[in-house]
Amino acid sequence: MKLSSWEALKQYREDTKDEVSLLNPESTKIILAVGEATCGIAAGSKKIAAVLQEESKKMGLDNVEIIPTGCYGCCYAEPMVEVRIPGQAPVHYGYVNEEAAKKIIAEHIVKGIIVDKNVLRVEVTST
Amino acid sequence: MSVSQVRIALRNCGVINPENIKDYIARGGYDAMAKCLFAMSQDEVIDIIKKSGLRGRGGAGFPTGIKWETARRAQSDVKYVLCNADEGDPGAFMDRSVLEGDPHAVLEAMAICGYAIGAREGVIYVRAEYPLAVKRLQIAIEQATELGLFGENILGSGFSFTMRLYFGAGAFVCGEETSLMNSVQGGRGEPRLKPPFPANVGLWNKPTNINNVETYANVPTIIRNGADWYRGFGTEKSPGTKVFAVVGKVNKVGLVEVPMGTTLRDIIEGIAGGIPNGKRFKAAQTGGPSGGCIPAEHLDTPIDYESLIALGSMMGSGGMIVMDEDDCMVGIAKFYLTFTAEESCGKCTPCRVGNMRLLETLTRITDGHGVEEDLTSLENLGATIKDTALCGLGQSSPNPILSTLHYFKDEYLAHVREHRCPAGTCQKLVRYRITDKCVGCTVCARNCPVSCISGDRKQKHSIDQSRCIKCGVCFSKCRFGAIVKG
Amino acid sequence: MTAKADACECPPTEEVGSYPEIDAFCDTLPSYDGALIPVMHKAQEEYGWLSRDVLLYISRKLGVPASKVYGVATFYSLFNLEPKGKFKINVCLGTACYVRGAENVLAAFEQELGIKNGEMTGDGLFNLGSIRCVGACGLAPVVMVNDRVFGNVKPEDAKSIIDEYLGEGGEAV
Repeated sequence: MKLSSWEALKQYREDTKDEVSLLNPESTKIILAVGEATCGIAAGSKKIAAVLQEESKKMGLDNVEIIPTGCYGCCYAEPMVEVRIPGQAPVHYGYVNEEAAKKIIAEHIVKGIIVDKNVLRVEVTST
Repeated sequence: MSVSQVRIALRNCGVINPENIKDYIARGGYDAMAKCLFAMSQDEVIDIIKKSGLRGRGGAGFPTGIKWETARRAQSDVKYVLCNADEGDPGAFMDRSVLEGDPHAVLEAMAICGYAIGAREGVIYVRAEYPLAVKRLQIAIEQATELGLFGENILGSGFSFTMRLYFGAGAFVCGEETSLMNSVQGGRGEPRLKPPFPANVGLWNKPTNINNVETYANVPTIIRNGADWYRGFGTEKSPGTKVFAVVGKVNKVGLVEVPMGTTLRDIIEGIAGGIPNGKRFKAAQTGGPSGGCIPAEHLDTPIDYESLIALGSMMGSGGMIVMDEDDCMVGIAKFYLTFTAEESCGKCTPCRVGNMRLLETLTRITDGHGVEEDLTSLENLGATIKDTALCGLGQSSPNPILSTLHYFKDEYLAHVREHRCPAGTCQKLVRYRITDKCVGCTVCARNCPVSCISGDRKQKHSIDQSRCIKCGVCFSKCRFGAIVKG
Repeated sequence: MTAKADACECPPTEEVGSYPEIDAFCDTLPSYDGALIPVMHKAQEEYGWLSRDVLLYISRKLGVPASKVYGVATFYSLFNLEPKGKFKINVCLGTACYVRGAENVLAAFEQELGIKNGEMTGDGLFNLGSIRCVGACGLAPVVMVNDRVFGNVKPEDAKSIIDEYLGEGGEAV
């Protein structure tokens, strides 16, 4: 499909807003964004994404979507996972090993309890 | 209290799915391009970039708007927009991160530039060592072309722009713009004299605008939010933000984007969490092989292009390597000279021969054969190379030596006068000694690969210095801290 | 368009093999202008390295003098003019890795394999080399074996990394 005007671009943005992986307060979709830049992958993020996928399947969660994302800048804490639950502030997790990945699903996603040990606090003014 | 980062170039990195154009569009993507095509004249676009004060993020900090304006004024039916994604500074990886995390921002900016200067084709020169960045760029170009955001008659505006990738093949000098263009033309990546500048005589001798990845990544946000907004960050002469790759001896290795004018201390001790293992900060190296080492007494300098040059270093692409008391400054200078001597393209004599002589002199010093006169000859030769080399690589290659000689002369003097390496890293100058703390456990003697440690059980051991190969195994195996080096 | 090979009047003196993969790739190019480096990338991807024969073939195919082809091939560090081992061990010597002791790691690999940086073991299994910054500075020092990244490598890890591949190589050979 080719967009033929600026209006069409704006319309496209509106039409696809449920298909994007950003935090969307109107959606019921939970997004798990896994850092998959070179540094993340070298630290094992592909494996972590697979574990998250498997665990959410095990728990019967069908509203969880796992997406790859770029580098958040915290190379020291890779692999990183960001949890985006509609209506809540996003949570950044660092040093996510398999055990932590399982906990994120079982504790945070299922029970709503944040896995404190792995939370990263990064002060960022976004633009 | 740590300083907050401000993300402009990295605004989408780690936020969007880089392989899904819908995410980018949802964040306002391609609106800046549409705004330019439908609501701004070419000169208005250039005007905003000029007023924003954006400067090249790849090294020298040349004003981007002036580059664009020169290319716009150049008369030619064919012009090119080139993106330098040949990030070669060891220890800098912000461009890779942008390409892997937010490829569309760079593509959108190139199309904006194409509109502004009157070019129809964009070429991205990307390192072949970055396979993931290449893959994500390819996906991004494909998705954007499919939506009609590149190609013929973009969004019905009448403006057409196509995008092409070109792979580098591992040559540091190709980060220099004229070398890069020679490489795209299929030749050896050797630089040429400037002027003429690429904006007048560039790729295939046509007017060409060339910027690096991070510079382009700032453009769409500037167009959307305006020049005044952008000038709200950073300093008078260096507006906006800069991404630094903070690596080496810090607790939190990674990328940080901060307003220009932030101090080194805020970055290193604040955001990067300081030096690990209770060690003392010694120096921060900025600017890669073209930069220099900044000592502790200048930690509170607000950093921008000018202040770094005043300190004998430079911005470069934004690598920041933090070193502690265990790092030898002569060794660091030698590390960089090994790099530049290897990467010198060989076209001009000062760089080809001069850097080799600098490296030989440094090697003599770190091997323990240096004399005090060597330091004067390093200074003289270094100054000569800076004055006479053909391109930026050679003109800046002596900086790592000159800055360390300036700030850490005592370390050089210890090497040449006493043949001693105060940091204990120059292998040939290191001496391992066993102190009275030795309890005679024999671990060192059993692990010594050349069996040069002797001593009876439960008696103090000793090292035969004439046979010691200085491998350091005894030092790392000793559980009693009885072996010292220095 | 660059002149085709037959425009040169010197008779080709050396027989070269045929490389259909290179022909097929060249057919996809709109023009041979600036095609030399992409063609060499392709050839190396297909054959692993650039032999004299391949370089001569490319020279005639594109109508670029062999001296220029050789000049370009030797200018860029990614082009291999010699065959490479099955497992390419590359120690990152970027600044972050250097500051964290990559030189000692390289020395350990040299000692374990009995070869120098840039050489291949006699059995053709291992190649030892150095690379500059793979951008995984958070894991420094880093060693890459083919496409796999090992992080936080200590000199004493060299043996176990080699052993891991030795097992694989033994089975495969």
